[in-house]
Amino acid sequence: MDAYEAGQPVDSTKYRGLIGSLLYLIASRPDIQFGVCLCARFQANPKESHFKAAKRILKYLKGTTNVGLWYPCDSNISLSGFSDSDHAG
Amino acid sequence: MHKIDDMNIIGTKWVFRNKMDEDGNIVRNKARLVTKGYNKEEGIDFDEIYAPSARLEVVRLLLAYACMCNFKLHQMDVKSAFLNGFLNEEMYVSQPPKFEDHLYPNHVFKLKKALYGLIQAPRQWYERLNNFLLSKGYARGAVDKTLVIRKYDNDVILAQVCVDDIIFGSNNNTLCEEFIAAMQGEFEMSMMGELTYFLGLQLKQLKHGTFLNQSKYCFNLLKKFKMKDCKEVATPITIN
Repeated sequence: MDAYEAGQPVDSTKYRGLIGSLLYLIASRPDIQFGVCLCARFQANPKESHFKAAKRILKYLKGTTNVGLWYPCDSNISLSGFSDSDHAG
Repeated sequence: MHKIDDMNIIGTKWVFRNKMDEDGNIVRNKARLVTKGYNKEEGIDFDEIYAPSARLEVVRLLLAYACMCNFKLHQMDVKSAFLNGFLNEEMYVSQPPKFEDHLYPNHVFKLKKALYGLIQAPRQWYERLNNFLLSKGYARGAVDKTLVIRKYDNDVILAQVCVDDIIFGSNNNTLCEEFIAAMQGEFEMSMMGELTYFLGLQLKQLKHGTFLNQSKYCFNLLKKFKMKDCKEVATPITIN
């Protein structure tokens, strides 16, 4: 998916509304974070295919409405960091 | 006082709302007088209007910390919070519609405290709350300015302020009670008990941990975009 997808442009107000609503949901749903952020890149000129991708996230949510985050009492509080940089090698 | 020609008068209007409970039944009818505070000029009508508010991430962080330290978070809110702020500027409002004084139709009111709709109302409320808490010996977070904190040896009380909603918790119950008493002494508060619903987040504080989800928000989202009856898929993005 990229910004120059062929196809009909869609109502960008509606598209932005959908992205905005999904962004708020990320508070308890890191599983859709990547998908929402990917869709959020095309807000300037959304096409049919972008809208379809955004709606797929909704379809996914339909089946997973009740999931959320679980903080167990006995968890470890130490901070971990991860990095995936390969320094352009 | 009597209207003067070059006085900048702000109009007022009534806003009526019905408060609904979770099932959509009307539980309360609300009427609120608001000012038409738009198109005001900076420097004349207001100076500083920035007011911080707790971020969602910060709320989550507090939740995780409370969970790890094994204490419960509670919630309270301030009734008509913005009406508590004091004004630094001279402001005048017209008489409320339908409540005009027939003997003095040309009079206006001078405001001492903020009203809803004024551009500086959130700032003044934040200022008032902040000054009050500082005077009571609470400190503000060094990085996160919406965090209220107070330490006694091994005990600590933490609170997050999100405009008029306050979530707080402590490993020592007396600290909580002290905080509640202080707030109730200064502002009109309504206690909401244990934290269960905050900014659209549904929370369950259980014995072995805390569960956080947004199923209600998610359901309304599907309804809003008319996807309530769509087919389910297993992944959020297409595979290859």
